[in-house]
Amino acid sequence: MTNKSHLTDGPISSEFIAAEIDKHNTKTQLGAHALFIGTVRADEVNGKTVSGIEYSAYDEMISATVQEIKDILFSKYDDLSCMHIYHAKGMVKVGEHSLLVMVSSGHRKQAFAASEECVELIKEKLPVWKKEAYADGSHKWLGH
Amino acid sequence: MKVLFFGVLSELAAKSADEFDFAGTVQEFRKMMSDQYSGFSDQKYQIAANQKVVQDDHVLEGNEELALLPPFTGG
Repeated sequence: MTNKSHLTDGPISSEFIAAEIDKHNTKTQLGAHALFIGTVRADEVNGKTVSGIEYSAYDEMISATVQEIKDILFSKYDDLSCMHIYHAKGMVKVGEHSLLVMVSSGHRKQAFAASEECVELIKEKLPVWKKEAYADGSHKWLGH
Repeated sequence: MKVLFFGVLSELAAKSADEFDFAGTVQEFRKMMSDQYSGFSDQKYQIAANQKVVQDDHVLEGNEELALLPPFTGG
């Protein structure tokens, strides 16, 4: 898998998500797929409404970080079969999707637990930054 | 060495990358950045050398690709 295959150009579409699910149709030993989909909210910030979020990333560090996250979770959960992480890069408007995590296992419990932990590790470790854009044309970098 | 700026640092520097002649510790490099770009001294950021995060006492040889990484805010 190349570095950039974890990053999508713009929002993650419902067609992309459906195709990702369909890719697992032949893996008939899997009984559980847990999906987390992150979506841009229309937050109100100091009287301004968020219209979208522009995501940037350190592309060359993404692949190694995804592997680090997978190593942590595959060593902890023995029923996991696969884990896919996709993050949007570029502008994602309110209501569109910025993150897809899909974790598959034989049975539901580990898929649920590992998917939640995966999202937390993405927030902690993945080199991605968000810039909130507001309806009035202004913007703000988050997290500093 | 090539230096990449991300997040708010790219806005403060008004560029996404720059080139510097530098060899020394990460701590000394931070001082140089603060002297070069206004606003950097107020920001928290990690530094990655060749895509691996390094601590302030790490010695840079001068041929690395450095990346200045504000707190991650993905998701």
